[in-house]
Amino acid sequence: MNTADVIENRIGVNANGDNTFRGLSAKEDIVGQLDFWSLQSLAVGKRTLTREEAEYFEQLMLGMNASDPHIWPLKLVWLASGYGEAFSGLASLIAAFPRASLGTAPIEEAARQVEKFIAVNDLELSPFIDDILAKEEVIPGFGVIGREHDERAEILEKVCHKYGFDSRPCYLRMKVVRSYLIKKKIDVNVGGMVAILLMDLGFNPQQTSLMACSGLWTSMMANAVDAANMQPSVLRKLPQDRIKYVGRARRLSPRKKEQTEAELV
Amino acid sequence: MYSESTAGKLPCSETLEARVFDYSESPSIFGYDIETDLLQHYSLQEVLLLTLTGELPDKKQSLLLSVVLTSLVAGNPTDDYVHGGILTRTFSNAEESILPAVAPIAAQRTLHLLNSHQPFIEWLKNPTEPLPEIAVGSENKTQPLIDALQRRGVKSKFLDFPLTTTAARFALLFEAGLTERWQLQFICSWMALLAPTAEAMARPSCAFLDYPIRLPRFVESEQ
Repeated sequence: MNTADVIENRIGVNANGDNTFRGLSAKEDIVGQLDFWSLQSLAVGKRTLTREEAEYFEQLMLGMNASDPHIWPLKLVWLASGYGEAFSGLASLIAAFPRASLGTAPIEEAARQVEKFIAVNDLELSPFIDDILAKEEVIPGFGVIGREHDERAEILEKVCHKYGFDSRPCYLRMKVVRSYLIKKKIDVNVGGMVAILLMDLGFNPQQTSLMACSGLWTSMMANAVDAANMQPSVLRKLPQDRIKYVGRARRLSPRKKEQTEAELV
Repeated sequence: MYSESTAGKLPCSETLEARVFDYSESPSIFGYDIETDLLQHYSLQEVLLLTLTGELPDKKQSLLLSVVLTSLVAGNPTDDYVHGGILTRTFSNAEESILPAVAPIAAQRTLHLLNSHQPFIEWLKNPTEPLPEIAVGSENKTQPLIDALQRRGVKSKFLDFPLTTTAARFALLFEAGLTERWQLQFICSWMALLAPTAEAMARPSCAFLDYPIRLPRFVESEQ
């Protein structure tokens, strides 16, 4: 925590008919000079991307698209946008992102796991992985729900090969870990793959999840827009016969019991 | 090079005005000392009404609010805001996320209810006009509220009308002193946070297969 009573502004200033951003002038250095992804990279990582990196990053974000409204977080978007306000659904989901098992948080978690895999030497890697599995812990970045392989991880890997980013340290380390885990039928998931590829672009774990939010944003928006336009009544109120109560049995409160007994007397 | 921000040069106040809570001495709400006065002599619902209206309620208003707040705790898991809490718990073990994830649903739902009941909220200010159709229900729906008030020796001037449960709750909140739309918006949204939180925390987190993912089904469309 910073205890100073003045906050250092490292972001930007609106002055003299211009807006600066991370020290760059919107007029002189940004518009016509940079791409959008570099601006986002500056926002979270404070460095611009080369043209090649930006193009590669854009393809990774396109490969992350998954917009099926059945997916749990996207259904939350529907619930909150279902009264006609798309931004409510976006706000609801973003509020649910920290530490969630789906969305951006697993990407950061996977990135931190990659750091651990890199810190372990080759000989100790298998016992290290076995130790995690023995504790019945999920390995962040690995494990796919409902199918053997994650189609988005496969797409991202193809993009990585195509752009020649497949000789970087995190990707190479992931290949070793994956070759071991695949024998146990555990494959890398999209969160793990995007974490690895973004770390190889120089982002730290926290930055990977913030950068990867762009890849989820379009799916979130599409669901928010359709929910706001359709406003489906079935989501406002589910059929009562689809609710199965499994909680405490009916009982009388002490005060009600006292009243009932008094009435009997 | 350092440039002074355009926003930084606006002739704005140097202080942040506080109009309800005064912490310059001992803490107070609208002038009433919290620790030596309100805390010692008043209930939660009375201080709630003070905070939202600026004045302490009379005994009847306090009892009306107590009854209607208890009624507002109820939240059917069929309803979107409760469903939202359950859904958030399904993909997150972060208990701190449930409230902010559900709050937009609760707020939008309340806004929708207020908009659809606007003629009734207008009617509450002048109940000699015919009862708006949106509020017309059956007397047996409001009987538990009438009984609860009667048990406390209170009678609402609105519950002689055949109201829906929702309309009856708005009427009791109005009669308790919450006559402005923003006050109704706040109190209903605030109360709507309890049921989803309770339902969410009564189940394990990230139990994906326990959640009915096909409820409802989304059917693929070519458009």
